[in-house]
Amino acid sequence: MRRAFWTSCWIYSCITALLFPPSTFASYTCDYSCSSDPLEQIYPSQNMCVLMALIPPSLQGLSYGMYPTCDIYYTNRFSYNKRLNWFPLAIFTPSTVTEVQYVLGQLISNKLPFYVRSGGHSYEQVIPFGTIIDLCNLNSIVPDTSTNTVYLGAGCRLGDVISALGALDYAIPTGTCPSVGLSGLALGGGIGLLVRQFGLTCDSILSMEVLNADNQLITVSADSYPDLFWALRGAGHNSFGIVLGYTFKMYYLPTVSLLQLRWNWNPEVFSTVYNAWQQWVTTLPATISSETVFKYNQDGTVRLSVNALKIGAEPFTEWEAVFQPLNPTTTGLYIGDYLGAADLFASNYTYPFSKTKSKMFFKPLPQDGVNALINWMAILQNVNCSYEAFWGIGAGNLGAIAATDTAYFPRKAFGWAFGFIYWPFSFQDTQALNLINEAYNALAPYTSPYSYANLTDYALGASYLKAYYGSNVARLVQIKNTYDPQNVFSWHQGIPLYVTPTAPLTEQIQDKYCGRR
Amino acid sequence: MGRKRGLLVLWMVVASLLEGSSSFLMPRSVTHTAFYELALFDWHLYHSKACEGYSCYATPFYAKSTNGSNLARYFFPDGSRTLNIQENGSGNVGSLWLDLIAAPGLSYSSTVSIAPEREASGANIVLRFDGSDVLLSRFLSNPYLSLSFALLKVRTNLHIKEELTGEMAYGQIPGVTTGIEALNNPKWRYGRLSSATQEKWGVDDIQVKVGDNWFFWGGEGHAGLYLVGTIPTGARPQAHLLFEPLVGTTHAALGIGLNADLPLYCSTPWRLHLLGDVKYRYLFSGRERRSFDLRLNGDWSRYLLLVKREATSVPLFGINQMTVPVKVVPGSQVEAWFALHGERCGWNAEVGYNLWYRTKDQQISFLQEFPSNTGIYDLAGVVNHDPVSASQANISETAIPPNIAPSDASFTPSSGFDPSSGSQGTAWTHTLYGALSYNDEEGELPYLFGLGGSYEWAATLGALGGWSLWGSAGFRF
Repeated sequence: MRRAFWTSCWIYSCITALLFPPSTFASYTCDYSCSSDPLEQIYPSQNMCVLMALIPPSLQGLSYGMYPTCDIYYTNRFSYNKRLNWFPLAIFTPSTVTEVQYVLGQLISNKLPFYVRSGGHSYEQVIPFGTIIDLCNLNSIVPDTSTNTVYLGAGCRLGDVISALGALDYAIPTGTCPSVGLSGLALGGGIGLLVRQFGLTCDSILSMEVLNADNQLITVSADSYPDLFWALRGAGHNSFGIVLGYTFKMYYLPTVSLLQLRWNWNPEVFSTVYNAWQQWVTTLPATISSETVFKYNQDGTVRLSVNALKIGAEPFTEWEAVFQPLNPTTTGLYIGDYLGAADLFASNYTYPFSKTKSKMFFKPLPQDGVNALINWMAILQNVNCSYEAFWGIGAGNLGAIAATDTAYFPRKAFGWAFGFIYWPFSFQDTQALNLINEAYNALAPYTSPYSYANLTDYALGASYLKAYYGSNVARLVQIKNTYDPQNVFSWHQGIPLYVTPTAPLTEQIQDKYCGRR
Repeated sequence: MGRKRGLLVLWMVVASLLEGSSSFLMPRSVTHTAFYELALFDWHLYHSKACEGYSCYATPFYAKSTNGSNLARYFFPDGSRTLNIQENGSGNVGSLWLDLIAAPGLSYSSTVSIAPEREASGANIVLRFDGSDVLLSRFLSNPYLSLSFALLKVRTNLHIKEELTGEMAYGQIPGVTTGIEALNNPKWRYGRLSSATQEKWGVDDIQVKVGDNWFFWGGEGHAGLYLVGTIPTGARPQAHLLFEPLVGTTHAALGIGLNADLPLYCSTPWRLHLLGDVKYRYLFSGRERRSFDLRLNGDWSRYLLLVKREATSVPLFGINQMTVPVKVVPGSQVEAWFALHGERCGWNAEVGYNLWYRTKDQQISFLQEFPSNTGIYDLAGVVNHDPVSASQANISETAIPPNIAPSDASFTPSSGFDPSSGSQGTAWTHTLYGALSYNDEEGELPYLFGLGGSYEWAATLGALGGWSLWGSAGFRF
């Protein structure tokens, strides 16, 4: 149905473009020539008037609409990853629930594809064409220290959340990249430096305000729409409804210690440190979360980091016996509030183009797996391009919550390997993608088939459902049919209405025996 | 009697241990069943008034096998009488290999038994010409040429039964909730254990004999030699089912035989003779499709789940990959038949013994090898979410200790098939029979009508034993 619509739109736009030059559309301002945004120099322009013609009248002229005829559209049409050159029909930035409902209602009635944007950190182009509902104006942060809860609008960025709660010595478990949207992170799980003590971001959600496929605002919690509550926590990206706000449980966190150890490039040392870290993390109390990062920097240097955050005022000494003998090049130990630690740990990458891949593993990486990462670092040093690339590896049990309590599947993973590559010029696309794929393929034999849903990877192809949601797929499809039988909320890697069951034995064995050995 | 029975059982146990289980059983061909061809007729041929001329004999019969429990041991792993299917790995078959998995907290547990039974009914036809007109009569004293074949219907039934044990839990995968369903999984293209009766019609192997006889004692006794050949009939075994109904061996054969008649007592109106026929034949190669276990993985490894290197979490049914076309040389077969025949005034009585021996298949040549980049499904790896392969796994193992199928990264080599697992095992039977007939010698056409019954003991697991009833009718002209 949707394909038929866009086919007819395409034919219509071709005809109108031929018959009516842009100047004939008197009612629109079609005088856009070239943006001053340097990114616009990279891509060829579109016929914006054709795009305008496709927007239904009921959605034109809205005060919170950004249309192809406005300069602001051009700076907002991009998400974080500029590799995704997407010309949406329009971008709507509603500030109230009523405005979101109006836009959603019009999009549904006009059968227009759309995508909801919270922080814009998706690493893939969510849909190839359509309209963005950007929730950036729904960004209220209302903490309540009497109940240890906080209401967060779906448009909040992590930086704002961490700052606002940190000022009160509170925190919720999230990542630390300030520009990441809270909603996208929470709906796909949410791994961060507090994960071992407080679980995933989604584990702290108490309730959600959701616009469902009937455009009705409902409150979703463990007591209200529990199956939807289950699905939205881990598989909630644009598949069941639009989450407009969250009530989170927040945690009093006056003091933390942040350890940052670094070693300069030395393959043998990297191997020794990584193996030591991999053993070390299995001995840690839940108050300590840790990760290692194999990182290739813009200037061609390579380093290995071990980062760890300890909750509480107790001295952080657990690392000394293990890592001091390994002579880190630099050692940093911060003791203070969580806000300061998050600032120190915040990542900030300046290159516009990026690609990410992820792998979950259910037992420690064997030496061959470690060597694969080290070899990749060596390969990068021989590539004469200024990439930034890293594999961050975290490990540890994800809290006490049961694997079946949320839709986040790889909860019992021993660890996770997240690969990122950033590059400055679009002509480097192919080489950069080849490089990250090379590392991913080298790691594959030592890791599981499962990936992290928040690091969207279209290269997973048809296997994305299994890769992200494992044995939860069947239940998710069932819930999709219950709450969105018309597939109003859909995207390239959304939860479908129907899926051909594959390898039910594998699913059953994993459901039954995982963790029993 | 008890001691003999004990020795027989002991012999069968030893034979089964030496040969292991097999996926294939080729029953004795009707054409190769000497007593159908010779009982009553052999006497009639040589003692009716027509010395030369044509003979036509028919033996309508009904036969039913009775050694089902021994056949179960022939087919089941490690010579077991039953399949003890246990999800926890404590049985001789791990249920997970069969797609059988109980709900969380429960363990699938059952005992499956079979009592394979084969019924055959039809008629064995013998056409013969005795006389000097046959080829090479200048060099032969009393040459003859005979042709025999059988029209028959075969029905097989495994009589499969299952008793849920332990927690009485059912499997959770739709369509595979019990052992019976699992063993008859429609996704198995081969090797299914069907609970339905299977039926097949056809013409059994055609036997051709050319021989010569020397008569003595005034024609009362004789001895002769013959050449025997078999023209194969029937469709090639396709191994779609375990114990599928087969008609015809599909193997050509050539051999030699000795036939003799020794008068023991002759005083009007009584006659008592000892009759004998011994023949050896060699069965040549033929193409078939059979299921094979893997050399390193033991009995019933053909039912293990397999995976492709590029998709190690997607199990494939091993039986579909391990049923392959082969060239089989069955080897040698010996039949010995002896009978005491008494006659008085046209009434005849005969008791006889028939030994049948066939060697284990002599040679099996694979026309298709184990598929490349294919390993055994890694149950333990699946639990760990990183399945690769489990090249050492066997059918009794499971995904959890203590009987866990060990994970590794080794994919089974192409030389992995164990030929003996798809071989027809050594077959050895002893048959006793008794028959009565009336022979009319007064008319133009000497004819006979008779009835008989037999019981066949299978001395090895790879043979069918059972009883049969037959009628005899024939005439010479």
